[in-house]
Amino acid sequence: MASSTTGEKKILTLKGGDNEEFILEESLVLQSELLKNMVKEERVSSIPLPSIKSKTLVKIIEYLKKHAELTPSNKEEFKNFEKEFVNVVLEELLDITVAVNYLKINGLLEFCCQAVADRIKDKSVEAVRKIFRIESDFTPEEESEFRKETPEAFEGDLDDTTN
Amino acid sequence: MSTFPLDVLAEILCRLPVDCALRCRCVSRSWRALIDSAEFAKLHVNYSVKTNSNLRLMLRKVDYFGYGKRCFYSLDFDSLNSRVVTPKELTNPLMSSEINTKILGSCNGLLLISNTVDEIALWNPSTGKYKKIPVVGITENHVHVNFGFGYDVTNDDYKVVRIVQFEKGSEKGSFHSDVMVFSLRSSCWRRVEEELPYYLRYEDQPGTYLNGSLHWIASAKMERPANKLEPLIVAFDLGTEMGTRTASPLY
Repeated sequence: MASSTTGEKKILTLKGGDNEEFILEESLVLQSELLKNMVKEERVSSIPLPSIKSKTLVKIIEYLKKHAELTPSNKEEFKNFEKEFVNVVLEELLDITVAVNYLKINGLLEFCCQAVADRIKDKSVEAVRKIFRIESDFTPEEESEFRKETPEAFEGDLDDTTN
Repeated sequence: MSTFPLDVLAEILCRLPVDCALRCRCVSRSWRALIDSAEFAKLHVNYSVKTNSNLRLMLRKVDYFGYGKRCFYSLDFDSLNSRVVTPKELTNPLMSSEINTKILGSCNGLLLISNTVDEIALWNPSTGKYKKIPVVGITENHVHVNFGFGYDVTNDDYKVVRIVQFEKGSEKGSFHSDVMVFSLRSSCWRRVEEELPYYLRYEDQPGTYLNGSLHWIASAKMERPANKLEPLIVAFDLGTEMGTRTASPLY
Protein backbone atom coordinates (compact mmCIF):
# COMPACT_ATOMS: atom_id res chain seq x y z
CA MET A 1 0.00 0.00 0.00
CA ALA A 2 2.89 2.33 0.76
CA SER A 3 4.10 2.28 -2.83
CA SER A 4 0.75 3.35 -4.24
CA THR A 5 0.52 6.36 -1.95
CA THR A 6 3.87 7.89 -2.79
CA GLY A 7 3.51 11.37 -4.08
CA GLU A 8 -0.03 12.06 -3.05
CA LYS A 9 -1.73 11.32 0.23
CA LYS A 10 -5.01 9.44 0.42
CA ILE A 11 -7.97 11.58 1.28
CA LEU A 12 -11.08 10.55 3.17
CA THR A 13 -14.38 12.27 3.91
CA LEU A 14 -16.16 11.93 7.26
CA LYS A 15 -19.80 12.98 7.42
CA GLY A 16 -21.06 14.21 10.77
CA GLY A 17 -24.61 13.85 12.14
CA ASP A 18 -25.76 17.12 10.59
CA ASN A 19 -24.33 16.19 7.18
CA GLU A 20 -21.35 18.45 7.51
CA GLU A 21 -18.37 16.99 5.67
CA PHE A 22 -14.81 16.82 6.90
CA ILE A 23 -12.03 16.05 4.46
CA LEU A 24 -8.85 14.70 5.96
CA GLU A 25 -5.88 12.48 5.27
CA GLU A 26 -6.62 8.80 5.58
CA SER A 27 -3.56 8.26 7.74
CA LEU A 28 -5.17 10.38 10.48
CA VAL A 29 -8.32 8.28 10.84
CA LEU A 30 -6.30 5.08 11.21
CA GLN A 31 -5.97 6.01 14.89
CA SER A 32 -9.59 4.93 15.20
CA GLU A 33 -9.89 1.14 15.23
CA LEU A 34 -13.41 1.36 13.80
CA LEU A 35 -12.49 3.59 10.86
CA LYS A 36 -9.26 1.69 10.24
CA ASN A 37 -11.23 -1.52 9.72
CA MET A 38 -13.74 0.22 7.46
CA VAL A 39 -11.03 1.75 5.30
CA LYS A 40 -9.06 -1.48 5.04
CA GLU A 41 -11.96 -3.77 4.30
CA GLU A 42 -14.04 -1.70 1.95
CA ARG A 43 -11.66 0.92 0.58
CA VAL A 44 -14.28 3.58 1.08
CA SER A 45 -13.60 7.26 0.50
CA SER A 46 -16.55 8.63 2.46
CA ILE A 47 -17.78 7.46 5.86
CA PRO A 48 -21.10 8.65 7.32
CA LEU A 49 -21.16 8.98 11.11
CA PRO A 50 -24.77 10.01 11.74
CA SER A 51 -24.61 9.42 15.49
CA ILE A 52 -21.81 11.94 16.03
CA LYS A 53 -22.54 15.67 16.12
CA SER A 54 -20.35 17.77 13.83
CA LYS A 55 -19.23 19.84 16.81
CA THR A 56 -17.98 16.66 18.48
CA LEU A 57 -16.33 15.46 15.30
CA VAL A 58 -14.44 18.76 14.95
CA LYS A 59 -12.98 18.22 18.42
CA ILE A 60 -12.02 14.63 17.70
CA ILE A 61 -10.34 15.52 14.39
CA GLU A 62 -8.42 18.24 16.23
CA TYR A 63 -7.17 15.56 18.63
CA LEU A 64 -6.24 13.14 15.85
CA LYS A 65 -4.13 15.84 14.17
CA LYS A 66 -2.35 16.75 17.38
CA HIS A 67 -1.77 13.14 18.31
CA ALA A 68 -0.30 12.39 14.88
CA GLU A 69 2.24 15.17 15.43
CA LEU A 70 3.28 13.80 18.81
CA THR A 71 7.03 13.29 19.12
CA PRO A 72 9.22 12.80 22.17
CA SER A 73 10.24 16.46 22.00
CA ASN A 74 6.72 17.94 22.16
CA LYS A 75 5.34 15.59 24.82
CA GLU A 76 4.78 18.42 27.29
CA GLU A 77 2.96 20.49 24.72
CA PHE A 78 0.72 17.51 23.92
CA LYS A 79 -0.08 16.97 27.59
CA ASN A 80 -1.19 20.59 27.86
CA PHE A 81 -3.27 20.15 24.74
CA GLU A 82 -4.97 17.09 26.27
CA LYS A 83 -5.78 19.04 29.42
CA GLU A 84 -7.31 21.83 27.37
CA PHE A 85 -9.08 19.30 25.18
CA VAL A 86 -11.25 17.98 28.03
CA ASN A 87 -11.77 21.43 29.48
CA VAL A 88 -15.20 21.79 27.88
CA VAL A 89 -18.72 21.80 29.32
CA LEU A 90 -19.54 18.42 30.85
CA GLU A 91 -22.33 17.72 28.37
CA GLU A 92 -19.90 18.13 25.48
CA LEU A 93 -17.30 15.99 27.25
CA LEU A 94 -19.86 13.18 27.59
CA ASP A 95 -20.69 13.48 23.87
CA ILE A 96 -17.00 13.26 23.02
CA THR A 97 -16.49 10.27 25.33
CA VAL A 98 -19.37 8.32 23.77
CA ALA A 99 -18.15 9.14 20.25
CA VAL A 100 -14.56 8.17 21.09
CA ASN A 101 -15.83 4.87 22.46
CA TYR A 102 -17.78 4.27 19.25
CA LEU A 103 -14.79 5.13 17.09
CA LYS A 104 -12.50 3.05 19.32
CA ILE A 105 -9.72 5.56 19.87
CA ASN A 106 -8.38 3.77 22.91
CA GLY A 107 -5.83 6.15 24.43
CA LEU A 108 -8.24 9.07 24.18
CA LEU A 109 -11.11 7.03 25.62
CA GLU A 110 -9.18 6.38 28.82
CA PHE A 111 -8.26 10.02 29.09
CA CYS A 112 -11.88 11.15 28.60
CA CYS A 113 -13.24 8.62 31.13
CA GLN A 114 -10.74 9.87 33.70
CA ALA A 115 -11.74 13.47 32.98
CA VAL A 116 -15.44 12.66 33.46
CA ALA A 117 -14.69 10.73 36.67
CA ASP A 118 -12.70 13.69 38.04
CA ARG A 119 -15.59 16.02 37.28
CA ILE A 120 -18.35 13.92 38.89
CA LYS A 121 -16.57 12.44 41.90
CA ASP A 122 -17.77 15.06 44.39
CA LYS A 123 -21.26 15.45 42.96
CA SER A 124 -24.39 14.49 44.83
CA VAL A 125 -26.66 11.76 43.50
CA GLU A 126 -29.16 14.37 42.31
CA ALA A 127 -26.47 16.23 40.41
CA VAL A 128 -25.19 13.03 38.77
CA ARG A 129 -28.74 12.21 37.67
CA LYS A 130 -29.16 15.58 36.01
CA ILE A 131 -25.76 15.41 34.31
CA PHE A 132 -26.55 12.00 32.81
CA ARG A 133 -30.23 12.92 32.26
CA ILE A 134 -31.51 10.07 34.36
CA GLU A 135 -34.85 9.98 36.15
CA SER A 136 -34.78 7.98 39.35
CA ASP A 137 -36.66 4.71 38.87
CA PHE A 138 -36.63 3.79 42.55
CA THR A 139 -39.86 3.84 44.55
CA PRO A 140 -40.32 6.78 46.95
CA GLU A 141 -39.87 4.28 49.81
CA GLU A 142 -36.54 3.06 48.45
CA GLU A 143 -35.45 6.62 47.78
CA SER A 144 -36.14 7.70 51.36
CA GLU A 145 -34.39 4.61 52.67
CA PHE A 146 -31.23 5.53 50.72
CA ARG A 147 -31.40 9.01 52.13
CA LYS A 148 -31.54 7.57 55.61
CA GLU A 149 -28.80 4.98 55.03
CA THR A 150 -26.37 7.12 53.09
CA PRO A 151 -27.25 10.75 53.72
CA GLU A 152 -23.80 11.78 52.48
CA ALA A 153 -24.70 10.58 48.98
CA PHE A 154 -27.33 13.25 48.75
CA GLU A 155 -25.28 15.94 50.43
CA GLY A 156 -22.35 16.11 47.99
CA ASP A 157 -21.75 18.91 45.55
CA LEU A 158 -25.23 19.82 44.38
CA ASP A 159 -23.93 21.71 41.39
CA ASP A 160 -25.49 19.95 38.44
CA THR A 161 -24.55 22.52 35.85
CA THR A 162 -22.76 20.75 33.12
CA ASN A 163 -20.12 23.47 32.88
CA MET B 1 -27.96 10.99 25.62
CA SER B 2 -30.81 9.36 27.50
CA THR B 3 -29.24 5.93 27.16
CA PHE B 4 -25.62 6.33 28.03
CA PRO B 5 -23.70 3.22 26.91
CA LEU B 6 -23.14 0.98 29.93
CA ASP B 7 -19.63 -0.10 28.92
CA VAL B 8 -18.47 3.53 28.82
CA LEU B 9 -20.25 4.20 32.09
CA ALA B 10 -18.37 1.29 33.70
CA GLU B 11 -15.08 2.74 32.41
CA ILE B 12 -15.93 6.07 34.02
CA LEU B 13 -17.24 4.74 37.34
CA CYS B 14 -14.31 2.36 37.86
CA ARG B 15 -12.09 5.46 38.00
CA LEU B 16 -14.02 6.89 40.97
CA PRO B 17 -12.81 6.49 44.55
CA VAL B 18 -14.63 3.59 46.28
CA ASP B 19 -16.95 5.82 48.31
CA CYS B 20 -18.03 7.84 45.28
CA ALA B 21 -18.65 4.71 43.21
CA LEU B 22 -20.80 3.29 46.03
CA ARG B 23 -22.73 6.56 46.28
CA CYS B 24 -23.61 6.21 42.60
CA ARG B 25 -25.58 3.05 43.45
CA CYS B 26 -28.40 5.42 44.42
CA VAL B 27 -28.64 6.99 40.95
CA SER B 28 -30.88 4.40 39.28
CA ARG B 29 -31.62 0.69 39.11
CA SER B 30 -29.38 0.09 36.12
CA TRP B 31 -26.49 1.98 37.76
CA ARG B 32 -27.00 -0.02 40.95
CA ALA B 33 -26.99 -3.32 39.04
CA LEU B 34 -23.84 -2.28 37.20
CA ILE B 35 -21.94 -1.24 40.35
CA ASP B 36 -23.05 -4.36 42.24
CA SER B 37 -21.92 -6.71 39.48
CA ALA B 38 -18.86 -8.91 39.89
CA GLU B 39 -17.50 -7.59 36.58
CA PHE B 40 -17.57 -4.04 37.86
CA ALA B 41 -15.89 -5.02 41.13
CA LYS B 42 -13.12 -6.61 39.11
CA LEU B 43 -12.80 -3.58 36.86
CA HIS B 44 -12.56 -1.32 39.90
CA VAL B 45 -9.99 -3.51 41.65
CA ASN B 46 -7.87 -3.82 38.50
CA TYR B 47 -7.91 -0.08 37.99
CA SER B 48 -7.02 0.55 41.65
CA VAL B 49 -4.14 -1.93 41.50
CA LYS B 50 -2.86 -0.52 38.21
CA THR B 51 -2.90 3.07 39.44
CA ASN B 52 -2.03 2.33 43.07
CA SER B 53 -5.19 4.15 44.16
CA ASN B 54 -7.81 3.50 46.83
CA LEU B 55 -5.09 2.44 49.25
CA ARG B 56 -6.16 2.11 52.84
CA LEU B 57 -4.58 1.48 56.14
CA MET B 58 -6.60 -0.78 58.43
CA LEU B 59 -6.28 -0.12 62.13
CA ARG B 60 -7.39 -2.43 64.89
CA LYS B 61 -8.08 -1.37 68.42
CA VAL B 62 -7.16 -4.05 70.89
CA ASP B 63 -9.49 -4.05 73.79
CA TYR B 64 -8.91 -6.59 76.51
CA PHE B 65 -11.92 -5.57 78.51
CA GLY B 66 -14.52 -6.64 76.04
CA TYR B 67 -15.77 -3.26 74.96
CA GLY B 68 -14.28 -3.53 71.52
CA LYS B 69 -17.45 -3.98 69.55
CA ARG B 70 -16.32 -1.62 66.86
CA CYS B 71 -12.65 -2.30 66.78
CA PHE B 72 -11.68 -1.57 63.18
CA TYR B 73 -10.82 1.73 61.59
CA SER B 74 -9.79 2.55 58.06
CA LEU B 75 -7.65 5.40 56.90
CA ASP B 76 -7.40 6.58 53.30
CA PHE B 77 -3.83 6.97 52.11
CA ASP B 78 -4.82 10.08 50.19
CA SER B 79 -6.00 11.72 53.39
CA LEU B 80 -2.57 11.33 55.01
CA ASN B 81 -1.47 14.55 53.35
CA SER B 82 -4.02 16.61 55.22
CA ARG B 83 -3.23 18.01 58.64
CA VAL B 84 -6.05 16.39 60.52
CA VAL B 85 -6.60 12.73 59.80
CA THR B 86 -9.74 11.02 61.01
CA PRO B 87 -9.88 7.24 60.77
CA LYS B 88 -13.28 5.94 59.75
CA GLU B 89 -14.88 3.60 62.26
CA LEU B 90 -16.13 0.35 60.74
CA THR B 91 -18.71 -2.10 61.97
CA ASN B 92 -16.98 -5.36 62.74
CA PRO B 93 -19.04 -8.21 61.25
CA LEU B 94 -17.62 -10.75 63.72
CA MET B 95 -18.19 -8.65 66.77
CA SER B 96 -18.01 -10.53 69.99
CA SER B 97 -18.22 -9.17 73.48
CA GLU B 98 -15.32 -11.31 74.64
CA ILE B 99 -12.86 -11.83 71.87
CA ASN B 100 -11.04 -9.38 69.70
CA THR B 101 -11.11 -9.88 65.97
CA LYS B 102 -7.83 -10.44 64.15
CA ILE B 103 -6.95 -9.78 60.52
CA LEU B 104 -5.53 -12.97 58.99
CA GLY B 105 -4.93 -11.67 55.51
CA SER B 106 -5.82 -9.05 52.93
CA CYS B 107 -5.99 -8.99 49.18
CA ASN B 108 -7.59 -6.60 46.65
CA GLY B 109 -9.54 -4.75 49.31
CA LEU B 110 -10.91 -7.90 50.97
CA LEU B 111 -9.95 -9.01 54.45
CA LEU B 112 -9.91 -12.40 56.10
CA ILE B 113 -10.83 -11.90 59.72
CA SER B 114 -11.24 -14.22 62.66
CA ASN B 115 -12.36 -13.87 66.24
CA THR B 116 -11.94 -17.42 67.43
CA VAL B 117 -10.50 -20.44 65.74
CA ASP B 118 -14.04 -21.41 64.88
CA GLU B 119 -15.28 -18.24 63.34
CA ILE B 120 -13.72 -16.69 60.27
CA ALA B 121 -15.12 -14.43 57.59
CA LEU B 122 -14.22 -12.65 54.38
CA TRP B 123 -15.07 -8.99 54.65
CA ASN B 124 -15.16 -6.09 52.26
CA PRO B 125 -14.77 -3.08 54.56
CA SER B 126 -15.70 -0.68 51.74
CA THR B 127 -19.16 -2.11 51.20
CA GLY B 128 -19.56 -3.68 54.62
CA LYS B 129 -20.48 -6.98 52.98
CA TYR B 130 -19.10 -10.15 54.49
CA LYS B 131 -19.33 -13.89 54.22
CA LYS B 132 -18.83 -16.22 57.14
CA ILE B 133 -16.81 -19.27 56.31
CA PRO B 134 -17.59 -22.58 57.97
CA VAL B 135 -14.54 -23.93 59.71
CA VAL B 136 -13.74 -27.62 59.63
CA GLY B 137 -12.96 -28.80 63.11
CA ILE B 138 -9.57 -30.22 64.04
CA THR B 139 -9.89 -33.39 66.08
CA GLU B 140 -6.29 -34.50 66.57
CA ASN B 141 -3.81 -32.75 68.83
CA HIS B 142 -2.05 -30.24 66.66
CA VAL B 143 0.98 -28.02 67.04
CA HIS B 144 -0.46 -24.98 65.37
CA VAL B 145 -2.81 -23.58 62.76
CA ASN B 146 -1.93 -20.98 60.17
CA PHE B 147 -4.23 -19.19 57.77
CA GLY B 148 -3.65 -17.29 54.57
CA PHE B 149 -5.81 -15.47 52.05
CA GLY B 150 -5.20 -14.43 48.46
CA TYR B 151 -6.30 -14.30 44.86
CA ASP B 152 -5.83 -17.21 42.46
CA VAL B 153 -5.12 -15.50 39.14
CA THR B 154 -5.31 -18.73 37.10
CA ASN B 155 -8.84 -19.60 38.18
CA ASP B 156 -10.06 -16.08 39.01
CA ASP B 157 -10.95 -17.15 42.53
CA TYR B 158 -10.27 -15.97 46.06
CA LYS B 159 -8.92 -18.66 48.34
CA VAL B 160 -8.42 -19.17 52.05
CA VAL B 161 -5.71 -21.63 53.03
CA ARG B 162 -5.54 -23.36 56.40
CA ILE B 163 -2.46 -25.30 57.34
CA VAL B 164 -2.58 -27.44 60.47
CA GLN B 165 0.61 -29.16 61.55
CA PHE B 166 0.88 -32.24 63.75
CA GLU B 167 3.76 -33.82 65.54
CA LYS B 168 4.59 -37.35 64.39
CA GLY B 169 5.24 -39.30 67.55
CA SER B 170 7.91 -41.71 66.40
CA GLU B 171 10.85 -39.60 65.30
CA LYS B 172 12.15 -36.35 66.76
CA GLY B 173 11.48 -33.39 64.48
CA SER B 174 9.10 -35.21 62.20
CA PHE B 175 5.66 -33.82 61.51
CA HIS B 176 2.86 -33.91 59.02
CA SER B 177 0.59 -31.22 57.64
CA ASP B 178 -3.04 -30.97 56.82
CA VAL B 179 -3.63 -28.35 54.14
CA MET B 180 -7.14 -27.25 53.27
CA VAL B 181 -8.25 -24.68 50.72
CA PHE B 182 -11.53 -22.78 50.74
CA SER B 183 -12.56 -21.48 47.35
CA LEU B 184 -14.89 -18.49 47.34
CA ARG B 185 -16.17 -19.46 43.90
CA SER B 186 -17.30 -22.95 44.92
CA SER B 187 -17.90 -21.89 48.52
CA CYS B 188 -16.42 -25.04 50.02
CA TRP B 189 -13.30 -26.46 51.60
CA ARG B 190 -11.15 -29.04 49.90
CA ARG B 191 -8.23 -31.02 51.29
CA VAL B 192 -4.93 -30.78 49.39
CA GLU B 193 -3.54 -34.27 48.86
CA GLU B 194 0.04 -33.20 48.26
CA GLU B 195 2.05 -33.30 51.48
CA LEU B 196 3.59 -30.00 52.56
CA PRO B 197 7.10 -30.95 53.71
CA TYR B 198 7.83 -27.64 55.46
CA TYR B 199 7.26 -26.75 59.04
CA LEU B 200 5.78 -23.27 59.52
CA ARG B 201 7.86 -21.71 62.23
CA TYR B 202 5.54 -19.19 63.76
CA GLU B 203 2.23 -19.88 65.38
CA ASP B 204 -0.49 -17.45 64.29
CA GLN B 205 1.59 -16.00 61.49
CA PRO B 206 -0.76 -15.44 58.56
CA GLY B 207 0.60 -16.10 55.07
CA THR B 208 1.87 -13.10 53.16
CA TYR B 209 0.24 -12.75 49.76
CA LEU B 210 2.40 -11.79 46.80
CA ASN B 211 2.25 -12.61 43.08
CA GLY B 212 -0.40 -15.30 43.36
CA SER B 213 1.23 -17.17 46.25
CA LEU B 214 1.05 -17.18 50.02
CA HIS B 215 4.38 -17.10 51.82
CA TRP B 216 5.43 -18.33 55.24
CA ILE B 217 8.71 -18.59 57.07
CA ALA B 218 9.37 -22.27 57.54
CA SER B 219 12.02 -24.87 58.22
CA ALA B 220 12.65 -28.35 56.91
CA LYS B 221 12.20 -29.98 60.29
CA MET B 222 10.08 -29.32 63.33
CA GLU B 223 12.04 -28.05 66.24
CA ARG B 224 11.11 -25.81 69.07
CA PRO B 225 12.53 -23.27 69.55
CA ALA B 226 13.18 -23.15 65.85
CA ASN B 227 15.99 -20.65 65.83
CA LYS B 228 18.75 -23.24 65.39
CA LEU B 229 17.42 -24.34 62.03
CA GLU B 230 17.97 -22.52 58.78
CA PRO B 231 14.90 -20.41 58.00
CA LEU B 232 13.45 -20.77 54.55
CA ILE B 233 10.50 -19.29 52.73
CA VAL B 234 7.76 -21.58 51.52
CA ALA B 235 5.47 -20.27 48.79
CA PHE B 236 2.05 -21.83 48.41
CA ASP B 237 0.85 -21.23 44.83
CA LEU B 238 -2.90 -20.56 44.92
CA GLY B 239 -3.28 -21.73 41.32
CA THR B 240 -1.54 -25.09 41.53
CA GLU B 241 -2.14 -25.44 45.30
CA MET B 242 1.41 -26.63 45.81
CA GLY B 243 3.91 -25.42 48.35
CA THR B 244 7.49 -25.01 47.24
CA ARG B 245 10.62 -23.54 48.72
CA THR B 246 11.56 -20.20 47.20
CA ALA B 247 14.88 -18.39 47.23
CA SER B 248 15.47 -16.49 50.44
CA PRO B 249 16.75 -12.94 50.23
CA LEU B 250 20.48 -12.49 50.78
CA TYR B 251 21.37 -10.57 53.89
